Amino acid sequence: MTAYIFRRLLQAIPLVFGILTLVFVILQVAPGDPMAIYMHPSVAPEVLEQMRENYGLDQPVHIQYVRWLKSFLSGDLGTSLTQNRPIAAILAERIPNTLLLSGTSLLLIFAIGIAIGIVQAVRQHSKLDHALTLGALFIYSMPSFWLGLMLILILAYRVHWVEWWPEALKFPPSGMDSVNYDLLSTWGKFTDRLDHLVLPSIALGVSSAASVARYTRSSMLEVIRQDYIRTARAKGLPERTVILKHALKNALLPIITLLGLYLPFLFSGAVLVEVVFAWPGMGRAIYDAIQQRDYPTVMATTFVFAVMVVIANLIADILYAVVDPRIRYERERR
Amino acid sequence: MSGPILQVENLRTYFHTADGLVRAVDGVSFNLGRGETLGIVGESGCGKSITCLSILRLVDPPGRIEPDSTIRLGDRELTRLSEAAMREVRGNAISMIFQEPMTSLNPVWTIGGQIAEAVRLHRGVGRAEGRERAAEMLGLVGLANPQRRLDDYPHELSGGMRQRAMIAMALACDPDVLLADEPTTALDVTIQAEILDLLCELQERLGMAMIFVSHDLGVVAQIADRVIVMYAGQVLEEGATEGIFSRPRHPYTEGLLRSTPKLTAKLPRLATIAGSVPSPKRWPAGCRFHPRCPHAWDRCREDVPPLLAVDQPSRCWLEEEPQRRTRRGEAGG
Amino acid sequence: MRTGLFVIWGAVLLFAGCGEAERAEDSAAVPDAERYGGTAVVAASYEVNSMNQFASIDEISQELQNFVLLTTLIRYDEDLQPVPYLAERWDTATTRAGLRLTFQLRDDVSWHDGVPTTAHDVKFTFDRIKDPATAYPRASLLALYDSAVVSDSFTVALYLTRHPGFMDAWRTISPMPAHILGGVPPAGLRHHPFGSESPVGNGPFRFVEHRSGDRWVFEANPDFPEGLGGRPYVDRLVYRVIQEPTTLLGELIAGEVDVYLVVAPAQVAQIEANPGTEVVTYANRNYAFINWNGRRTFFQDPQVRRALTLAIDRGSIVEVARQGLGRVANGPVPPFHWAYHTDLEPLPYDPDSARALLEAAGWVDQDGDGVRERDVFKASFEIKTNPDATRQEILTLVQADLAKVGVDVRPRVQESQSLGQDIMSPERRFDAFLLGWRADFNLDDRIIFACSQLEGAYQWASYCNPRVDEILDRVAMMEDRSQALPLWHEYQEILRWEQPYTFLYYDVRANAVRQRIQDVQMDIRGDLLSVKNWWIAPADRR
Repeated sequence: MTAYIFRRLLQAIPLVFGILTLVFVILQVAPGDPMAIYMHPSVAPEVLEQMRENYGLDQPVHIQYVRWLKSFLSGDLGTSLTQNRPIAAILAERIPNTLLLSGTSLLLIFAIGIAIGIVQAVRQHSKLDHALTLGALFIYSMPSFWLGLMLILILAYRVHWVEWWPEALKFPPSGMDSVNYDLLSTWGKFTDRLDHLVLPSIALGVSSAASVARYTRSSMLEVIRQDYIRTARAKGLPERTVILKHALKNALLPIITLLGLYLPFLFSGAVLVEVVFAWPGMGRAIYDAIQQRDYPTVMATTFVFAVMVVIANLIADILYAVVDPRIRYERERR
Repeated sequence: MSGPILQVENLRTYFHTADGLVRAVDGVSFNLGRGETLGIVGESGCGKSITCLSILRLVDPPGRIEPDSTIRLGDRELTRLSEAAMREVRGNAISMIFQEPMTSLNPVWTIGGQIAEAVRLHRGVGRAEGRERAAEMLGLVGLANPQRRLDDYPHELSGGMRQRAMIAMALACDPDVLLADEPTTALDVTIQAEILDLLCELQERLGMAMIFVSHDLGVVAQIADRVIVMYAGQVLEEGATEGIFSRPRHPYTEGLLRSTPKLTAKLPRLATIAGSVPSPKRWPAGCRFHPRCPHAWDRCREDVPPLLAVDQPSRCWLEEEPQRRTRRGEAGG
Repeated sequence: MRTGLFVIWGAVLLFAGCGEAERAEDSAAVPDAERYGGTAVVAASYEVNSMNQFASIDEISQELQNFVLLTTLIRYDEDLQPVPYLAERWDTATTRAGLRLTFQLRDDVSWHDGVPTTAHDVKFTFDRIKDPATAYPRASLLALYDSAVVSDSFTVALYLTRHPGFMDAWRTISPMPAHILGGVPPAGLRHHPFGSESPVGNGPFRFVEHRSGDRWVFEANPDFPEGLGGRPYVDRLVYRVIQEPTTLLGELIAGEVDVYLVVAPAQVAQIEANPGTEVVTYANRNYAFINWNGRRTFFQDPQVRRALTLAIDRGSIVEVARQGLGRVANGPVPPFHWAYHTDLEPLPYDPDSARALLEAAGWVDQDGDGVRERDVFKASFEIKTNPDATRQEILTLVQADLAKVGVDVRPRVQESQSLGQDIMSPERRFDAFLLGWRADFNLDDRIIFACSQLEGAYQWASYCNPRVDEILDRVAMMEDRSQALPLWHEYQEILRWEQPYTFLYYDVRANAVRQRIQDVQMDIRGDLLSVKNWWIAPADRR
C-alpha cells in the first residue's frame, strides 16, 4: 500500500506542473495589470515603473516563468503583489480555514446525504421518499452563492425582526468567529466557531448532499436486492444491523468515489461561498488574487488547490481499499 | 417419536403487485419430521424457494403470507410471531443456505465475522467466543486451517469453500431445521458431490431436519427421505423418495424423471416436458398442469384435482380415472 | 429637477446635524471615567492593503494608519487648516532656494515598543519617500521638497521650493519607526513583515492581530499622551473585511458590526428604518466622471462634448443610481475645496440644446436609423466601466439619455484590472469610460488636463487648452488664495464649457453607525477621524 501511495504521488507531479504552467500562461495571456490598483493621478508613472521593477514584472514572460519556477522549486512561494507579504504566510493562515469549512461541509454532505439516501431506499416509493426526492432536486439546482445569500437574508437578517424566533437559530452571517473570540472560554470558542460554520457549510454542502442522497438511494436499492442481504436477514439480524452493517458498507463503495469527485467541487464552491460569508479561506485568497492580478499568489494558491485535489483523490482511493477488501487484495498483489 | 418438527398447512404466499396478484405459493401443506430430509423438486418458478423463504418469513414486499396459512415449528405458530420473536427463530431454530455461494456472502466482511455474528446474536456470547465457534464450525465443514480462514474475505475462497462457509454459518447455532435452497446447483459436479456428502454427514451428526430444494432429481434422490413435487405453487405429488422415483404417479413427476440424465443410459438424449411453466399471474384453470399434460381431458381443464390417494398422494384426476392414461404420455416429447 | 436635487442635498446635511445633537445629550449623561471599555467593530467590503505607509495607497489603509496605528505630524481642523498633532509647532523661514519648514515634535510620544518617536523617524521616512527605489506610490506629495535635516532629537528642518498647500503632505504622511525599518533596503520596504504581521506604531491604538482576509485587531494604547487626547475610550478596535454588501448589512443589523463604511446606496433606507442604526453622510472628496477619449474624432470637438453633457440627465443619475447621495458636478474642483466656484451652475439637462449643438457640429442622422453620422463616422461608441452596481446602473441611464439625442452607446463592463490596463496603455484602448477620482486637498490637475501631459499616463481626455495650462501652472505656485481664486474660477468656467470629462456628480459618502457608538464624527477628513473619542456606554458593551 505504501508503495502504491508513493507511486500515485509521483505520478501526480507532472500533472501539477502541467497545471501550474498552464495557469501561468493563462495569466499572462489574460488582460490586466497588477499595478492597476495604484492608478491615480497622484501616482507618477515612474513610480509604477519602479514598482514593476521591484516585483520583477518588467522582465519578459519566459524569464518571469523561469524565475518563478526556480524560487518555487527552492520552496519559496514568493511575495504577494497586493498584500506585500510572503505568500507562504498567507497560505498558512488561509489553508486551515478552507479545510475547516470544506471538511465540515464534507462531513455534512456525507452524513446528511447518506442518512437521507438510506431512509429513501428503505422506504422506497413511500410519500417520504417522493418528498425527499423532490426536495433534493430543488436544492440540487440552487447555486451555492445564491443559497448563501438566501440563508443570510433569512437566518441572519430577517429573523432579527421576528420576535418569537429562538436566539439559538439566529446565525452570524459572516466570518469565522465573533470579535471577542479570543476572550471566550474553550467551550465558548468551540460553540462560537460552530455557530459561524453553520450557514457557510450548509451553503457549500447542501447541493452535494442532495446528490449524495440520490447516489446513496440508488446504491442502497441495488445492494438491498443482493443475496447477502437475504443471508443476513436469514441469520436473524435486526433490520438496523442488516441495513447499517451489511448493506451500507457495500452501498458506500460507489459513494467513496464521489468523495474524490466532490473535493475539487467543494474547493471551487468554496471560492464563492467564502466571498459571500467573508470566510477568510483559500477560496477568497484565489478570488482576490485573480481579481487583482496578483500573479504569484494565483500560482501558489493554484498549486495548493491542485495538490489538495490530488491528495483528496488519493484519500478516496485509499478509503475505497479500506472499505472494499477486494480492491485491497489486488493492490497488495501488485 | 414425537410429532413433526415443522408443519406447513395451506401455505399461501401471494405477491400483490401493481399489475395483478401473483399466487406464487398457493396452498402448500407438508410435514417435516425430526431428523428427516424432505426434498422439494420442481422446475424453476414453481414456488419452491418462496416456500422456504415463507417459512422464515423473509418474503420481500409486495409478497405476503396470506391470513389462514399455518407454519408450525414445534408448538410455535410462526405466522403469528412478532418480528422480534421471528428474528429469534431465524438463524437459530431454522437456518437457510442459498443457491449462489458467490453472492450470498457479504463481500466486505470477513468469513469469521459473518459466522460469529449469528452466534453472538443468538447465543449472546462475546467476540472471542463467537470467533472460536466460527473456527470450530469452519473445521466442522471441512475447511483446512480454519483459524486462518476466519480473517479471509469471501473473494479469497473458491466457490465450494464459500458454500462450506455458508453451511458453517447456517449450522453455527445448531438449528432444528435447515432449509437448503439449491445449495449445489451453482457448483461444479465434483464439488456438488462433496457438498452433498457433507450435508448428509452433518445432518446425521447433528440430528437436524432438512428441507432440500432442488430442480435436480438425481441430487434429491441421493439425499432425501421423502419428496414433494411442486408445480405452479402447489404440491402435485408427495411420497417417500423410493416411491416417487420408482413409481411416479403424477404425469408431471413422470416428465421430470424422464428429463433427468441417467449415467447408465446409453442414449444421453434427454426428454423434456413440452411447454413451460405458466405465468404465476394467471395459473390455468382446472389442473394447473393440464396445458402441458399429455393425458389431459375435459375434466382436467375445468375441475381442480385434490391431492388424491393416501400413501403417495397425487393431485391428478388420473387417480380417479386411470383408464385415461394415454400411450402418447408415456412416450414423452 | 435641479431644485429637487438640492433639497436632497440639504436634507442630508440636516440629518447629519440632528444625529450630532442627540449624541451630545447622551454624552452628558455618562461621566468621562465610565466611558472606557468595550470593543468597536468597523467593517467594509474592501481589504486593508497594509499598515506600511511606504506600500499602500488605498483609503482604508491610510485611515487606519493615520488615525489608529500611527500619528501624522499635523491634522486639519474643520476649516481644513493645519493644527498641531505629532508636531507641537512649526515655523517657516525663507531661504535662498525657497523655504525651510521646521517641525518641533512632541517629546512624549513613543513607539508601541517603548522607543521614543523622534526627529530621526521623520527624516528616515522623508528620505525613503524621496528615494525612487522605495517606489512610494504617493511620492508626488513631496515632489517640491528637497531634503530633511535633524537638528535635535525632536526638531527636524525640511527644505522645499515655495508652493501653496505645502503643509498638506504632513496631514497624510505618518512617520515610520526608523529603529525597526532603518536597516531595510528601500526596495525591500514594501515586503517587510511590518506591513501585515508586526506593525509597530505610535498612535492611539496598538496592533494586536491581523488575520488576512478577515480582520485587523487593535487595542487602546494606555501610554498615548494626554496632550493628544490620552488613551482612547474603547478597549479594542476591530476592522473586518466583508466583501458581500448583503452579508455586511446582516452583520450590522445583527449587532456584530458597529460601523459599516461606504454603505451601498440601495441599503441606506433599510438601515435608517432599523432601530439602533443610523446613517451618517457627508460630502467626500470623490467625484464621478465620464472620460471622453480626445483622440477619437467624435470627442475632439468641445461642442460635441458639451452636447453629450447636456444630453445626460445627471440629476436623475444622482437620484436613481445614488439614491440622492451626491450632487451634480460642474467641474474638477469639488465643493469642499476653498477654490470651488460657488456661483457656477452645472450645465443643465437640456436635450434640445444638445441636439442643436450636435447638428451645428455636423452630426446629423442622414440614414434615419436613429444614430447621427458625419462623413463616414457614426456617433456610436463604447463606454467602459468596472463591475460596480452603481456604475453599471449609471451607464444604463447614460445609454438611454444619449440614445434620445441620436448617439449610440454600447455599455461595457470590464473587470477592474483589465480596464485599468486598457486605460493606462499608451494606445488608450477605449472610446470613453466611467470612473471616479478622489480629489486631493491640494488640487493640481495638470497631470490630467495639461498639454504637456498629452502623451502622459493620465491625460486620457487628450485635452489641450493653452489658457488652462497657464492657469494651472500659475495657481500651482500661487500662495495667496485671494490672488489665485479668480484664476481657479476661470479654470472651472473653461472646463464647464469645454467638458473634457462629463463631470457627473460629487460623491456623498454614507456610513452606517450603530447608535451605541457615541461621539462618532465623520467628515471629509476621514471616516475614522474621531476614532479615539468613540465610546460605548457600559450597558451597551458586548
